[in-house]
Amino acid sequence: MLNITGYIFLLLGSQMYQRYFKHYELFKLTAMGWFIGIAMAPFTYALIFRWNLEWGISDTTLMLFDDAISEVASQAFIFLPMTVLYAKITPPHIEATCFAFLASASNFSGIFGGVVGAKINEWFVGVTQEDLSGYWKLVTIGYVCSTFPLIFRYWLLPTNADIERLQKSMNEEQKTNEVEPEETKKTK
Amino acid sequence: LSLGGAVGAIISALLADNFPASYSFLGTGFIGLIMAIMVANTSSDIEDVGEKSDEKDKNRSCMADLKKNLSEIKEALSVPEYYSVIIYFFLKGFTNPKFGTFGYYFQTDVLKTS
Repeated sequence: MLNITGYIFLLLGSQMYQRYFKHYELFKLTAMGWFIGIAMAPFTYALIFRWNLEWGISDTTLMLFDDAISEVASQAFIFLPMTVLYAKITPPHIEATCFAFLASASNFSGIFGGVVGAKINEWFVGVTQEDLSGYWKLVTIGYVCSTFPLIFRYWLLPTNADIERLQKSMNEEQKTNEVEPEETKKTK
Repeated sequence: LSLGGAVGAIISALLADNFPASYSFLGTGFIGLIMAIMVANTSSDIEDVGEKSDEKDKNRSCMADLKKNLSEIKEALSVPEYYSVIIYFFLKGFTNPKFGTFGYYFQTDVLKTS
């Protein structure tokens, strides 16, 4: 049920990005994604501490709501803008290799995040499958740490103007490369 | 992608609820086999769409391919917009721990849902 809801809202996230957010600056979209994640924090804590049962909200309802919003946010504000960015900054003629390299760097980032999370738990928190009482601490660490990428995104993520400039220079370079061999042929 | 995922989720839920687990594994294995056969029958000519590669390109060895790819990555890494995004990913992975596995155990063991 969760998976199905997730996929349906994934579709909604794609539509939202296509209609409303595709011209936004990437660093603004990542900030919006982060903000939605933080706004959902009270619901996550409600689920962890079982406050939802006191409020009369079932676990499934809250999880579906949480999952739906998270899917829309991750699709519209993180996944799609990043994929569009890969396609735009990849130099011509070497698209396949460079796109694959960017995608693998992004995947590596996710996997490495999992390793860091496991180490943090091992060294500082000690949550196990049998004892999940400290899970809220991990969630808190996750929320606090999610602010760090916001700090360096200003310096590292290109703006729309940067991308446009890069694309122009790549197109010009491509045109020059296409013209040069023809001129060489003529002189021969 | 999301429609395919939703249909897949419904089918897997029906399979898991109404049939023994071995049926799901059998189905997964069978789909994998079909995909392997389809990939094996894919024509390498589709790689030539847009630009024509010469015979030399087609007969290149694995090491030569690797060298070519590495040189392409090196060329891309000379673009500031490209390498800054790569640095962003690395820093993000390092500073943004993920606790998805614990969340999964919390869902299955405490909330008793999946």
